[in-house]
Amino acid sequence: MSKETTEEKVVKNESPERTEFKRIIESYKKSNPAKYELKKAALEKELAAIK
Amino acid sequence: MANTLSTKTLRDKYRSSQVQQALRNAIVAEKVCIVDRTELKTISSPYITAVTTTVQAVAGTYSPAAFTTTDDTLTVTDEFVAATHIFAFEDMTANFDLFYTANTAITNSLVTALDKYLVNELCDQGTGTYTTPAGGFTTSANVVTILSNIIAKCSGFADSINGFYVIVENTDLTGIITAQSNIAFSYADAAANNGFLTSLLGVDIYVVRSGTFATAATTAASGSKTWTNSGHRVGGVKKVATYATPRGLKFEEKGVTGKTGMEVVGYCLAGLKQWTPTATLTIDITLA
Repeated sequence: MSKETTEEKVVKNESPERTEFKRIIESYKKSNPAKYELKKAALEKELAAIK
Repeated sequence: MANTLSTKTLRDKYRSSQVQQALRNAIVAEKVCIVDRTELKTISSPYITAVTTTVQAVAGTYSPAAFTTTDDTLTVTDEFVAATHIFAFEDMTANFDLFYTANTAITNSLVTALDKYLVNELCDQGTGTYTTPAGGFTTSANVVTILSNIIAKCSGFADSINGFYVIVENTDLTGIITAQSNIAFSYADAAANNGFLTSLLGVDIYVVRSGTFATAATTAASGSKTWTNSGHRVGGVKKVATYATPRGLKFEEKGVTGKTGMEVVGYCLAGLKQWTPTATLTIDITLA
């Protein structure tokens, strides 16, 4: 299986909650970059806790 | 079609003179922000570079620094809409004024959504930061520490005269009320006799419902905004941020084709700006 296919599979198997949280993080990076840097570690920790 | 109000409208004795509505949330943004209801889409607030005074031995000389201004703008970007349709049969068979009730319900829905939006925007735009001890507000031993940190971060500035505030969710009250009861005789006595105190150590406490501080990106709650405020609260100095709802709430009633009765819609526009020079006076509180 190629690397691309593996990554695709991982994304497909992601829970909707995790996908949504990743979307929020990406959106937040753009909307408030300064605050994102401050909250980055906490947001990543929160993301890691979502299965 | 079934009458969705009640099939027994004419046989029941009603307790109240109006149709009962869902529980209403408290509205707090107006208490802690400056409100602008003029028709402007943008509100500018230019600010200047800080001016420094030099104290020196008498010499008669000085070095001028360039005086520069920067524009800061509140832009109204989001729209709030609550729409419903009252069929004629609902109105004709009701013992109540359904249009009055619809207007009240729409107003309530709009201001609740508006308040949630504003509280989250305030939390997001504030640049002051503070992380509570583990347990946050729900651990009563933390409450005085948290409030004293809010005061300490904002004190010494002239704006502090507006008063301090903190906005918490209802689930935080278990710790706050316990702290009030334990803190000192006068507070304990007042809390025991009168119930929940709305101010502690000079900090006004505003309570919103659980779930108000939200993590969301461009949803039906956040409009065009993105928030990461779940597990956060906001506090600081009042009246250092402005929110605008140009011309306030608007209502329209219209007959529509294919339906009896009237369509009723309420709507408003809104935006919030935490002005840059005072942004540190709005503290994004992280609950540990």
